[in-house]
Amino acid sequence: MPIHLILAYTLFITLPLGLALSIGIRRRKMQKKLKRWTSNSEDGKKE
Amino acid sequence: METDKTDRVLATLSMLIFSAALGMVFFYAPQEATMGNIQRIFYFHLASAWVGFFGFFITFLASVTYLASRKRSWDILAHASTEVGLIFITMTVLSGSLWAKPVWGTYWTWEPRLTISAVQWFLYVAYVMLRNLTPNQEQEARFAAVYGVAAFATVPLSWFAIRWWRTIHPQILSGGSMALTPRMQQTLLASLIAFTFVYAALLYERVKLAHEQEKFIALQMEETR
Repeated sequence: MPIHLILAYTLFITLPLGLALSIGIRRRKMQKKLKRWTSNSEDGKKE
Repeated sequence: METDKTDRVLATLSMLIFSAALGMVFFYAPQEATMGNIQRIFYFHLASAWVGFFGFFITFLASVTYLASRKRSWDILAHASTEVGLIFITMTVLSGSLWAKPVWGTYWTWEPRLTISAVQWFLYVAYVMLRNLTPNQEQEARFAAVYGVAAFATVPLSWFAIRWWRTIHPQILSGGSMALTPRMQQTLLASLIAFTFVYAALLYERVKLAHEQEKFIALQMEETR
């Protein structure tokens, strides 16, 4: 199997997976921030 | 991370179809007579180019709609589609280069199709980078929409480059017919479907991320008022 073919298909698999992972991590962080923010503001309202 | 049913269905379907297409590329498609196994790069190379162009077309449509309606959701879609489309165009350029080395004897040559692809790649990288630089959100969206419409000119230009100018880039579709055997056509079709699903799954996730970011900014603004 030619090395260039293996390299190309490695790219085809890793690049979309990398983007999916990056979006997933950013979403998780954002959801944590949202949760923290809403619980903090709810606590503030209670006080 | 909170996921909904569409998330899971799109992710599962795209992974299944992608694996099937990968299997077809290596075990179903016949070996090409002159290039040998290296020709197998072509299936995913063309599929990623198609999805990249489609992504930029969505950016173009969303940008035009944003300029007409000024609705924030269209701007979000344009931004998300550019980011996802750029990944596919990056794969196209890199895989094309990897194919060119054993076939043309060089990784890169400044012929019309490749030159337009390089210009296109830099234009959309600039789009993604510039989006984070403008402080005013409204101004940023308007500028990005005009840029998204103008940058789309590179898509038809890239498509017609191999028809208008003398080029060494292979032309698979000529005069409405395909220079491929039926098994090669089926593999190409499977690759196109697989990449379209991967694009849809990534776009859906990216749009959701942008909406969550919007929600967070709105909460912060509400709190500071």
